[in-house]
Amino acid sequence: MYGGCDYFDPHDVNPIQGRIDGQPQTAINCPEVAAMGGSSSNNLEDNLRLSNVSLEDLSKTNPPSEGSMGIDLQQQLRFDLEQEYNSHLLQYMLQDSHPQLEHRNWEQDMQEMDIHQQQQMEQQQQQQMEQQQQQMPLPHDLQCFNSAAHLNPPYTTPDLLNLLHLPRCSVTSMLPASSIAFNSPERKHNNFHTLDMFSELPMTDSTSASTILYDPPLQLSFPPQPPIFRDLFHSLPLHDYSLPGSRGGPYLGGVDDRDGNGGVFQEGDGRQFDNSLLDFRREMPGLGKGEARGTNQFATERQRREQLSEKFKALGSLVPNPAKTDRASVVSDAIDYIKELQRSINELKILVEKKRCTRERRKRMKVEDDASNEIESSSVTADREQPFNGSLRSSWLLRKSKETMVDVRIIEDEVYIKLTQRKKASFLLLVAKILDELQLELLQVAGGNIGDYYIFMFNTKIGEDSSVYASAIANKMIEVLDRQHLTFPAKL
Amino acid sequence: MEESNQQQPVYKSKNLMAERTRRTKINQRLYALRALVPNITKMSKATILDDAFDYIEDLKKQVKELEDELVEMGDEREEKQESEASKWEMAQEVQKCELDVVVTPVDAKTLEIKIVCEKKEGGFSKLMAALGHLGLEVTSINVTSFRGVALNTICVEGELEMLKPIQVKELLIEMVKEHLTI
Repeated sequence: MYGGCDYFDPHDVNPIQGRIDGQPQTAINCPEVAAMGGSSSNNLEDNLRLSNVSLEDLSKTNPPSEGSMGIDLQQQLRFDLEQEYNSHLLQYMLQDSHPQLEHRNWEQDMQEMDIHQQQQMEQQQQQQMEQQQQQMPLPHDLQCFNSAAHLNPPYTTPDLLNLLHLPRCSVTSMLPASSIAFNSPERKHNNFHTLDMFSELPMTDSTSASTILYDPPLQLSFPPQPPIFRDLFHSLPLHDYSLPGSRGGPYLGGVDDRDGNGGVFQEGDGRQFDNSLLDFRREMPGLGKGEARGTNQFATERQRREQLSEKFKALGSLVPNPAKTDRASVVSDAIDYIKELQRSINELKILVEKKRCTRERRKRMKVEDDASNEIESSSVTADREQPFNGSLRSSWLLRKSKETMVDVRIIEDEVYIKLTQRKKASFLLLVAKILDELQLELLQVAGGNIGDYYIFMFNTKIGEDSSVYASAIANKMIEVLDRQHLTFPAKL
Repeated sequence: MEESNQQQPVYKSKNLMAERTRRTKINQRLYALRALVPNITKMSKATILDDAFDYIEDLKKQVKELEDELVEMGDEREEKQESEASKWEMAQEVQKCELDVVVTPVDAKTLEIKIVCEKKEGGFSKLMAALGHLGLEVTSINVTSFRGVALNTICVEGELEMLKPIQVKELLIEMVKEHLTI
């Protein structure tokens, strides 16, 4: 059926659009049909052949992805051409010289055909249809359409069974199938018919639904739907929604039936099946699967969030004396800490290298001292002043505890320490002792107390052979000052 | 969400904006973190955090190793201290200067002390200890050293009824001298 769809797709890319654009097209097509109606049957047959050829050409000019469908279409068309009913159809067409009339008759034919089939099925809808039947006179060529419908007898019955319960699916399936069933090689006619069908769609009574019902057998033999048609499928359920009013009952049963015979439908076009399923769900939100999936998702989402917050916590635990525990602070603390660690590593590497150098130099010096050669020792001192590998030693870090904040910055051999601490006795003495211990030569001190806090800045120089590094200084400061804070030692 | 937004535009949008800024803040910082960590495997938040965790652990390990290495190498420190002591002496010889202590009372509780002295290792801590002995609390200090000479300008606070500025001066001189000569 999709071959059929495909065939008229290129003309109106979106069938719905086609419907919108339909007016001009019918305007073009109608006169030709009328003209054909006026001409002899011979001419018409010629016309048919011509249009068939043009049709094939058309299908060849289709996008490459649809090429195979084009071939299908051609086969289909040839097949259809050979059908007897086509000639009947042509006769029928000839009888209706006026396109408008013809249009209406097609509708009627469709309905009647449905009715006929449904009678065979002995469904309840029959009554409805009969009412309509009474409203509309039966054209004489009903039989020819029936024969068309029965062209594929093996499929007819089971599929009809399905479709009767599933008007929704049948809406979509109807379009292509019908276009083929009426696949009179004449393109215009076909086009005309599809337009007809679309114009019928907005009708929300059972008529349109039943029209739709009749096609199924053809559906199976067709390639999967071309992408363009998905649009159509999406747009169609809108019409379906209006249907339940008249036939709400079959819906529930229909779902079950679908599940039972699902293979047929899913094979034909799984998407359509899904679509209707979704629609069904949408209609009745209380029904199963939606909720189940929701809770399931919630569980995993919750798990995911828990995992994520665990990771945040883990990251936060790595950072020394964290200030805050919210995510943004944890991340920024981690960033600062990584930077600090990188600086520390850099500093330490330089220090280690420096030490290795001095050690080697010392060994050399010892040897040289034994030789007591003064010139070489002077060259060694010159050597000593060179920066190591040209890399400048620079690092800084900030350590905070509850009462103390230490900011240590080291550039080459100068250390800048900024200390902030809650005011207490003999603070400076302690700091001075620490500095002595660390072999830091005091160059400059400035500071005082502001409010309850001491703020001091120490500018110191690292002793030449001392190997203190920033984190060691900061840690020592924090350690000693906090301990002192806890014990509250008496004044000396 | 949007409907309720329209119903209470001010309150909701405020919350919404706050939440949005919070999220963008976190996300931006996460990206910054990702930029820092060299071996990022995936772009998701969880992996960023994982990788950052591993990276920090790795860095910590490196720091530890380097520190240990430094400690191992720092055995010969004592030898050096000798040479350093000699250097201090050398510096002293370079610049000789008189000890000068000026004590000026600012108000009933505050003294300004100005000390010019030779700079010596541990001199500052000894001065601090001396001030502590006198029960004086430093409120402001400025120490500058240049070529082995240290200029200390200190403001101290304390109970000064028992302690005359002259006494403070003499005590300080005594202590500093004592410390310096030791």
